[in-house]
Amino acid sequence: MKQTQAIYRRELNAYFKSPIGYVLLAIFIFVSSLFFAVNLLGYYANIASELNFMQGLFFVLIPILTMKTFAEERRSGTEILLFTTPVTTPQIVVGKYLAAFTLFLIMTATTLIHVAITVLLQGTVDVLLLGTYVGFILSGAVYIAIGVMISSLTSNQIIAAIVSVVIFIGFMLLEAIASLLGNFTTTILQNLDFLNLLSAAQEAAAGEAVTKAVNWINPATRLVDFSSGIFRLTPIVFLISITLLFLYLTVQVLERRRWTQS
Amino acid sequence: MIEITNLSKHYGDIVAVDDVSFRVEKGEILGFLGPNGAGKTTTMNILTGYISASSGVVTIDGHDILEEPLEAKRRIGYLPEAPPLYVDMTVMEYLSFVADLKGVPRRSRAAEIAEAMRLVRITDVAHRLIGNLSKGYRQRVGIAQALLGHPEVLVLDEPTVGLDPKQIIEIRNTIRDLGKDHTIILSSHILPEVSAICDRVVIINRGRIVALDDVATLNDRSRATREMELTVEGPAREIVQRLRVVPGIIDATVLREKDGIVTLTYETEPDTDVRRQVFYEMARNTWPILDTHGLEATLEDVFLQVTGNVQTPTGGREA
Ligand SMILES: Nc1ncnc2c1ncn2[C@@H]1O[C@H](COP(=O)(O)OP(=O)(O)OP(=O)(O)O)[C@@H](O)[C@H]1O
Ligand SMILES: [Mg+2]
Repeated sequence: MKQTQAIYRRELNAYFKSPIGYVLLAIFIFVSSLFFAVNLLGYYANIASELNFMQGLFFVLIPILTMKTFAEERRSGTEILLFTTPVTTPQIVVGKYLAAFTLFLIMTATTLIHVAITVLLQGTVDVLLLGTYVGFILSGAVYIAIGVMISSLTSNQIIAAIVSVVIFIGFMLLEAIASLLGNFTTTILQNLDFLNLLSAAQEAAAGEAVTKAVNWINPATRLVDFSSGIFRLTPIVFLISITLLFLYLTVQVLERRRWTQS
Repeated sequence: MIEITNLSKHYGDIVAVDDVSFRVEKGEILGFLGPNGAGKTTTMNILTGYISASSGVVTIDGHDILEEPLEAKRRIGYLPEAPPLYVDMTVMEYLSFVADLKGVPRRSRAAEIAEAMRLVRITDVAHRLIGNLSKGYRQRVGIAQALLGHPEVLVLDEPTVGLDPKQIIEIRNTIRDLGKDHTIILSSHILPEVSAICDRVVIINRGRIVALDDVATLNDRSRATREMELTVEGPAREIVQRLRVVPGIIDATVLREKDGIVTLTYETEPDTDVRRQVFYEMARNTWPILDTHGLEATLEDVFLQVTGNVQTPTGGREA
């Protein structure tokens, strides 16, 4: 516990000893405030749409947040300190993850100013917004866990960042890709099935199943509920599980690497 | 205290460590000697739990490094080959962080950090950024870090690398002091360093132990062949010719010659002291001897002795 805390504090401090912490905060505040201001000018203050817009920027913001976590530690050789002191790998991963997540929460918290302004100007702040916040934070949690995992795979933070960006763009395209894959499956089945073993309905169903399966693993599709103000346990459990899964994978990557170093 | 049994480590086709076994007793300072690429760092990384071995067992005070890593790691202070320093922290911040990692209780933390800084003489840079320190100071911060948490075992990978001569002596003295209540294993490729500090020496080459000796025995062995350096005022060629005919001298070579003063080295047969004969020979020709001293046996010399082969041990596999 004490060890996790020590790592957490060091990591969080490190964000503000390099430009990264400030750069992230600056980008976030600038873009979100701009969005808010533009809305305000049109007498249309909608924090939910602002959050959705910012979520669209996760694919660049989160990789900057997570690229260093393990890659830099490996490059500079400081990881040897963590791995040879009486600290467990899960403690290291959790400490670093929570530090990144905390900076993310600080970024998110800056939008509360916009909420306050909205309230002051007698705009609407309702339960839908709360749902949007929950969705925003939970999906941030997932993205950060994935980013941390990618950082543990390499000793080059730039590569870690690029791979994360590509994967996150992949997520955003995933819904489109999902229906494409579905249609593709149907087409292939139709072409292969020259003996007419399958009915057209079955072929279409197979395509739909593929689309559904891809959407099922896509965290983005789980967020729709939140922004419509519906709190259901399933998506919350799902997003937290994905987060834990990637933290677990990070632990595995780190141990496996030291254990089988070729 | 440290027990290493049949340790091997393969990197693909490369065998970095090959069936190494030895023990370090409580309170002992063991020198781990070997040329570049011998497998010293690899062995130390394994026994501190950083990487795994391909096969073999390491126990620290009876705790297997794989089975009970936390118990074993609690007993080890490790100075890796490259000190693991965060350049964005001050020395104080860094040492506090390491103390936390090692679970040093909060109330004794400040005192322990102060003590470690005093031992390696870095108190005056406590509030400097590590990134701005010189290499020697960084090395000392690395040693201070290893001392935190009062580990019973210290594993030091080339602790004096990058230090100036005065600091080298200081650090050696520090290590000798620490040896009174710690078990220490330190690697080096400098023979005099090891003979100055250690009780016992393990010599490793290409991953294999080639000798395991008391320092006294090792010194005897290295004395077996001797090289002397001699500075004489006189004609270089004739001096060499004269030296070569002195009984007991195998060979003589000129190192440099300037203003009629010649510096040369000669090699004698084992256990032969020819200094008197050389003196009379030079005196007879009225060539005054300005200086003469024995050269320290190099690691290579010892290797030739312990391995009994003439082939040079360095640059073998790396080449
Ligand atoms: N990660 C690695 N991958 C492949 N080979 C490695 C790796 N680490 C070490 N080796 C090889 O293992 C051998 C032993 O290396 P090691 O670093 O243990 O030597 P050393 O005795 O510490 O040398 P030095 O005196 O130069 O520090 C070398 O041949 C080295 O090339
Ligand atoms: Mg080494």
